[in-house]
Amino acid sequence: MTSPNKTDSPTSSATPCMKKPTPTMTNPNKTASPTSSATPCMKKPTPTMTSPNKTDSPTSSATPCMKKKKSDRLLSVLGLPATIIFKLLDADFVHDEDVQGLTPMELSSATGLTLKESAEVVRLSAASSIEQPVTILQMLKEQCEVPYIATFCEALDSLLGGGIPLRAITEIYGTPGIGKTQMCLQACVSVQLPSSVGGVGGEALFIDTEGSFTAGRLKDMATDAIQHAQTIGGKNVDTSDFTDISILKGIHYFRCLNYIEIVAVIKHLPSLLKSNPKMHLIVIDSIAFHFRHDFPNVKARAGLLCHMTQELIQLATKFNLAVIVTNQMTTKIECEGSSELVAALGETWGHCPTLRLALHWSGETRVATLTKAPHRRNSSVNYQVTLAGIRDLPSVDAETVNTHTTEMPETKKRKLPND
Amino acid sequence: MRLTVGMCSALTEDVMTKLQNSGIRNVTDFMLKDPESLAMESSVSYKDLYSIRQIIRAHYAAFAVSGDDMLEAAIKTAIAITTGNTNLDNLLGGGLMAGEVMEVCGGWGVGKTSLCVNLAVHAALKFGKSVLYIDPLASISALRISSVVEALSEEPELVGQALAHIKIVTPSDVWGVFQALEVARQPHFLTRKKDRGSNGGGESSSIKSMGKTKLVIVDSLPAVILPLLAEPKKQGLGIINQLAVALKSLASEQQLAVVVVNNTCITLADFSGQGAESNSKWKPALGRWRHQVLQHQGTYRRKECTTTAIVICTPDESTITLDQDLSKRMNTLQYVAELVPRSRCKCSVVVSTPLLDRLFFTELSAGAAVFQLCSLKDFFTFLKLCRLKNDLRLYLRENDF
Repeated sequence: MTSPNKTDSPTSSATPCMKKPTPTMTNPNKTASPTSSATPCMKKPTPTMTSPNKTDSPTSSATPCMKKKKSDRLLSVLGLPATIIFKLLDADFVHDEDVQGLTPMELSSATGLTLKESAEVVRLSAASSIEQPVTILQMLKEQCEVPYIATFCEALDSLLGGGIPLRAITEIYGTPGIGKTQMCLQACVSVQLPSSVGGVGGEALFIDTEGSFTAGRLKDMATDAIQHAQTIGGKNVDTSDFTDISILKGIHYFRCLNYIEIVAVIKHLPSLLKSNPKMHLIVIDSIAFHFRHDFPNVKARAGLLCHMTQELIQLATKFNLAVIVTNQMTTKIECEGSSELVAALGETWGHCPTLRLALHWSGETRVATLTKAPHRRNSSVNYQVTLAGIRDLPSVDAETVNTHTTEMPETKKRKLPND
Repeated sequence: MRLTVGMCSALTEDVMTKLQNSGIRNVTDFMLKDPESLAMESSVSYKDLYSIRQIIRAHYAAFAVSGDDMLEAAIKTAIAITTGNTNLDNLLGGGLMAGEVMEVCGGWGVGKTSLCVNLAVHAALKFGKSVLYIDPLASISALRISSVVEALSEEPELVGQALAHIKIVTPSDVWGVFQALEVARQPHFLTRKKDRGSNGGGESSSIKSMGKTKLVIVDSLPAVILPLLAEPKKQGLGIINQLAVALKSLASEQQLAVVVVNNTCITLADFSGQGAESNSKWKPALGRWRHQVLQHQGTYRRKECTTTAIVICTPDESTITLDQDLSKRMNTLQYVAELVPRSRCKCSVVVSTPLLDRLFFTELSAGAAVFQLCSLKDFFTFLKLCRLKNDLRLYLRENDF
């Protein structure tokens, strides 16, 4: 503890404390401070004192502080609606202890609340279960390895530190046709790679807002992934249950036509996840679509996005999921008149995901840039979209394991001015 | 404290009914009414009313203490938790000051959470302090921590011990944040080992106790507050206010440092094309929040607040140190009134009595402390104190306390 020009503070005895007197305290002896003389403390005089005597000045060692009782919670922080709080405050019920020992009947007659409301107040104030925190040490022990979903593109995997991480929200944003949906489909296939060959072995949930999901593409990717798994596993590992059918069966699909349906699915997720414990990936493609069109009010949008992010991240940590969210691009006009292409949904949304991956063109090549990551440096890699999915660019000598085919499907190309 | 029968000997059923008939429903109504007019309206005896008033006043009144002692205590208890980065320490004037709330704001991806993690690890490692990390967005995870931990140069046991001092809570809404703040007040902190149920080898949960929390970090406040502001009801601002007060009072009562992470957002309609520097386009989000925390304005009724009111009482004969002569007394008060604006503290100087009574009462009922300055020397000490604490207020009154 360093305090440059000041003396070290004494130990816990020097902490300021506030004590409220009980009505039965008979001797508010101000010359004797309750703890050691170094303790700053202040006692309030009892109700029985008739004349607040100014001559009772405290000793020179007593300095201001107040000690609170442990259960001294304000009623207004319990999460009750404002109307109930106002009625309670009007009748002078401020703290937990004011309500203790009262039946709902007594409380409603004193405050004018309905019986149901006062029962709620009594219940909330009595509930004293505080969630016990976890220390970082415990967390590290429990989550000793961070599983990743491989993207089958080695460069991209090394950029991300292994692949798309579980227990985090990854946002992929880019111009149309760059490969965002392809990456999502690839992830849906990769997540199902059995753990015997180093994969996660889980199922995926795809929430489609744009209608860009094509089962045909999935089949192409699945075929290649099965071959890949057999190559990795070799003869020793049995990957016979990793088939096209099993892969397609392992992807659960929701089509959402407006933002309310997205919110509904997210609210429904806990029960979904309980009935499908193998779920390890949630994809929302794209989150921007409905939020850009249906929302005139920016504040409401920010609030709803924050709320949804919170729910998603809490589910992700609880159920060990990866969440992939795709976003669109928008133009930001600078003061000087120049413009810049940035991710849609604004600044506030930028804080929500854990990782952000920007996809853009560099001439004829697709580039992925990591713009926000807690554990990796921001840098870029090249990738390509092939029939088999997302792969590395072929190097000059074609002995890479990743490129099984060189057929390129018809890709949509939107050219941007060169960086 | 409630206005109930039996609160004092003078408040009988009969008196209570009479008071209720005159429209007095709670303590505040009672205190705000002049006792003489109330006596006439409600036909309760003045003596009874006076004794009830005294009891209420005694319950809510703060205890007078001299400014000298307050300064001494402030000097003794001021500690700075260094951040581990000398430049940052110099910027902050020594480090994170105990009793203060610091806001860290920035755009996305700039490193706010990384900074907070480093602050926490440094505080736990170098000082052995317990740290409470309130993390609604679950931004602390093994993903983030493992690289930080690997880079530490200390021995593994020390690192392990330090990490055991950092506690993480993940509340899902603002009420959870309030509950989490309660955790910081507990002197001995309990942690729980989760059972490894899925592998079959269950470890029974054990309880360990840690030291007192000295640093509280709230990562990403907008995550819990923006959903509230989005609602059409006006409750959101009130809750921000409450949270601000809770954080500040936690910091000052428990003498710990609080760090809060905020986002930035773009100010609207700032496209004048004058090529303003980039800072002016960005402002911290949650605008009104800053008012509550950084400049403590406004009186918070019925909430705990840390504003300290200094009262200069014109003393009675027994404790006179200021001049008794009336003209001289007025001169002293005037002198003080002139001196006050030149000092750096935020002072409200109010001299008329009925208004002061009201402010005084609400201030006191909110938990403010009152200090008696018996001499001008005390007053100058108080001014020195203002430099240490930024949220002191000064009242001058002519009556007895």
